[in-house]
Amino acid sequence: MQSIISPEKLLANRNNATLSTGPKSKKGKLKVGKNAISHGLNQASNYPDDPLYKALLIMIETAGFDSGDIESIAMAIIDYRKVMDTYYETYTNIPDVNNTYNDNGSLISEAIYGMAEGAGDNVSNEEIQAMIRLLNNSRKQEQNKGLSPMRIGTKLKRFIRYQRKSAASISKAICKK
Amino acid sequence: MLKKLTTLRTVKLQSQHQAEFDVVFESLLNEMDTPSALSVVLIEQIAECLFWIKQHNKDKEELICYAMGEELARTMLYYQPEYREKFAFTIRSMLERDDFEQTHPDQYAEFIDTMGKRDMTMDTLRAKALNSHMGKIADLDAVISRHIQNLRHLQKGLDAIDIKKRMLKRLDLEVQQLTQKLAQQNNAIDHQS
Repeated sequence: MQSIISPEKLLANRNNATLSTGPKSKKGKLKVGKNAISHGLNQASNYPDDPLYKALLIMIETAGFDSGDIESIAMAIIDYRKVMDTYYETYTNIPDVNNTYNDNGSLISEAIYGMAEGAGDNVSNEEIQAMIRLLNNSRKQEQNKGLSPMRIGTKLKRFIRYQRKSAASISKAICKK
Repeated sequence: MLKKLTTLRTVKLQSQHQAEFDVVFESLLNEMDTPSALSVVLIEQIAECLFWIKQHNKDKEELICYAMGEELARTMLYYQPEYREKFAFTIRSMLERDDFEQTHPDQYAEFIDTMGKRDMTMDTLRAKALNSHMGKIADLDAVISRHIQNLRHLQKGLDAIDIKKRMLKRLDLEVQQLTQKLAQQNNAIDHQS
């Protein structure tokens, strides 16, 4: 089958693809490999196994809904609960800031001081500069992460799309004509 | 009232949050005349949304206090976290309590001294903190706004159930009325014959 894009375009695409194709290090690959399974909300639900499902079916039937709508309403409520339970779990599990970044800073300062004192001329300017860079990077990293109140928004933002979908599906299922 | 609903509870929170949630849930339940079981489930979800909105507003205030503490510590070139936490605690306490000056005179004096050295007021410090942490505050705002929209969806569902309930009641009454009429007509026919 002939390509539908021009050879120049194809070459440009291939060149661009080499610029950014995800993480290259083993550590990076391992980290992004866990992205899809961080909260399990993308997994399909097995509704009949949910302890709430049967109770919901009865409640919805008692409320006078058509037999066709009963299941969709129960499923929508269960999906919503799944999102909100994960949301709460994430919120309560936000860790306190690990102070090792700050400790690193002071350790590196001490190391620079110690090396300069102890080894005298053996410490090169490059080595000291590299350490200062490391110190600054760890500070920046720590500053970006912030203290625990600063992490809440960042951690919970990813649930917005799941909430949007599940909350809308509840009202859609109930208000269906 | 909530004790009767233990088997139907769908929102399970940790003890430190449960009491606060229950207050919101119970007040919403009291506003309903005779809620059906499904309405109670939806009211529970609405109460949860209200709980989160309140909780995240608290988080936002705390974030701003921490950001102010961080900002002040940074201007003084204090990079150790204990300074930021100390300043954040002082700022939060000052905003929450009027008697902080009397209860913690040393901390208050240190804070005022630090602010004076940097020629700052609470307003300028807050403005600086908001400016430097705009992204994180915006994230929290987005989360709060999502809860408000969730609440609207759930309210829409609850209204639909309420209307359905009223329609069913009306239909029941109509059926009852028609049955009575039919019985009366049958009686009249029997009487005539």
